[in-house]
Amino acid sequence: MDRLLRVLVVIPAVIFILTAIRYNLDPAGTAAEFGMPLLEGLGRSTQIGNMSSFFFTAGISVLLAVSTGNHFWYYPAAMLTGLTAIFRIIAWLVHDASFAISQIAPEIIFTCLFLFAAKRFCDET
Amino acid sequence: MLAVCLSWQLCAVENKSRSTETKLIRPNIVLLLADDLGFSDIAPYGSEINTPQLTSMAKNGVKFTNYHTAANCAPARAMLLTGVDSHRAGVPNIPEMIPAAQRYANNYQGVLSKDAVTVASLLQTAGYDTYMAGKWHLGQTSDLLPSKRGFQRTLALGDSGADNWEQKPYIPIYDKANWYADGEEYQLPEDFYSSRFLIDKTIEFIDSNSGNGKPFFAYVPFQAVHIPVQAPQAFIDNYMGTYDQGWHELRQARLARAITMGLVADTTQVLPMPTTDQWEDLSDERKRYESKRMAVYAGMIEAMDHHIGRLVNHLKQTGQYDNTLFIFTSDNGSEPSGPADPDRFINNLVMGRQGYSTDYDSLGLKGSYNSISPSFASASASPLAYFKFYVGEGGLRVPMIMAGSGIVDKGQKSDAFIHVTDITPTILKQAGIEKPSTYFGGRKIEPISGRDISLLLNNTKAEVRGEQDHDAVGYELAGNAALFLGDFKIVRHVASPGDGQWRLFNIKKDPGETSDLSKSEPKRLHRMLNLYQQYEIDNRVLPIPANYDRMRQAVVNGIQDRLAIPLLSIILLLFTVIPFYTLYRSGKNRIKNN
Repeated sequence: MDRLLRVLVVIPAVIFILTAIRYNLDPAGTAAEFGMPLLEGLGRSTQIGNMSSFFFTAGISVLLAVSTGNHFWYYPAAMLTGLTAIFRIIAWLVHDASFAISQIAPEIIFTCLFLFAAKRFCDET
Repeated sequence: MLAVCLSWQLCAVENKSRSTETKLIRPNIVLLLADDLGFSDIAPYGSEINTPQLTSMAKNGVKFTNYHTAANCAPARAMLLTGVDSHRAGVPNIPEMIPAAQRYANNYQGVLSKDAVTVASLLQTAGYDTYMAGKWHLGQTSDLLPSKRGFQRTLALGDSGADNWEQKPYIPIYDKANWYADGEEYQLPEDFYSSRFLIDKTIEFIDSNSGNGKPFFAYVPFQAVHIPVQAPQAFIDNYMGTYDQGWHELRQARLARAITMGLVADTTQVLPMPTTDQWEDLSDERKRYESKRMAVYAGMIEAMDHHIGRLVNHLKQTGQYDNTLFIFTSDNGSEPSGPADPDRFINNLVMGRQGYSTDYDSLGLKGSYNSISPSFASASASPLAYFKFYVGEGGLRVPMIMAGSGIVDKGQKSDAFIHVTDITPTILKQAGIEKPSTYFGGRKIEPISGRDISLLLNNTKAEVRGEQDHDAVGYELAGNAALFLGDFKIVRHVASPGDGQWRLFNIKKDPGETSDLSKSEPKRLHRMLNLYQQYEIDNRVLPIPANYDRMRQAVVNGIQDRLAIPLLSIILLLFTVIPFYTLYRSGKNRIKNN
């Protein structure tokens, strides 16, 4: 069970890190996958810098949690994915953004998964 | 007496004001660019292919018999749109074929340098509405698309080519056909056929601003007749059986017509090409197949002509025709890349993977991949030697017609040597715009090297270049090189079937390049070689790596383009993840040991 749970949390972590890397190697293509054009000037700097750090932090946190056995490292990842889902909903309600269900759903699933892992491995330790 | 003087004065004032008024009316400009169209592929240049619109255009303008462009696509487009040599404009070759050894240089990126200003930018700044619908191929990042290079409204294909019936890449180096509308990715409609659609969009763009009092510049770079060669059935039907006698006969027939029409000297002969197969050696089935390949090619050209006619009619109906200058030309000579035998296993395998068939019955229709082989490509460039990618006349000399507004002596032919870089300064002159100085938009720019040929349009001058050193025009593509001076040309082919030797030809008397004068005129050869060396220095021409092969390079670059980012991503991912895995394993081992 624990091994399966570790595999389940590592999969999104690897995807997050891969996304961060791709944001630096192919920013236009990766931005397009998130419904954005690649901006210019300061916008491009913010876009690549912030998005890369977001995904890198989320992925590395989970890997740290799994590799060190310290369950606290699950919380930064859970906060990043969970708050993203919440702010997406606010953006939809307040700022006329699309209701991005195909993004919100996996973010909620990942948040639950990370919180469950944190709880599970906390109980074990 | 007083009354006569007064009336003369009044007349003079009236004439002056009328002439000022005329000057103020700036012409619309339509720049039509065919893709890979050979020298004798349209009726005004001796073709059997029915192109009534282009024939009418030639009757209404000037037909140039000695117009030279680049030997392949993007360099020609860069020079056409900027008036700057391809090496200085950042596009010495198409990016798909630039070897790694050259890519370190700023001017070898294969995308249009921001230091080269497009004619569209200059026209737009001067108050023109500027439109483009067709193949761009000068850079695909958001800052390099035509919407950022002076075109207000655009529908642009970023790749070197694409399917004519649907949104589909034509070769496996692309993962999709990259179309853009006004700078954004674009999905083609279901009923797409390239020539029809591009003219529809051009008409839509023109109409969107009609009545605003501004002249327009419309650039229409067709996909016709680039591979895959595809055409509607009705146009193909017009040529079924036309090519049953084969390429040798076609080449000779076009030579004869070119001589009769005065397009080339009556002493012109054709150079036997080692790339041409013996028609007589083919089986009847292969002859039938080859004949249809060429029939589709002809049908595609006629279809393009038909849609040009729709644009012309639209401009007539909307009262804009009389004030429009039309320019029709091709980016380079005919394309020889079609396989000699498209039925070979490897071709079927590659085409099958792309979702194409090469069946006889559906040849040229949706889902079919068609091309012409080097044998028909030589006939297509007849009576000239070589074809696309080569610097023989067949690769560089193509049709060019200027017609309509601003042309006094209509129906004329000019034998003056002119160059693709001459188009931009001529358009600027016709639009009453000064050539840009050293700076444009606060940026130091590459100066225009082409010359205004407006005086040729009025038959007031026979040539725009003489025989002085500064009149020489050089060119280089992947080691194949040429230099033109007066009636002469030196040429070197390093790519097979070339031998790397410089040769000298008089291209006025011998446009077929059959008689090498390098031995009989060593002084001229020496002078022109020196001028070519200076051209290389001035334009930062880089040497080509040993054993360079354009097709192999395209495959290598294609693989790198498609796989480099995924592979690099995975390597970096492994570098990131492995330390954590090591940490995890060592933690587990520690627990076990305890």
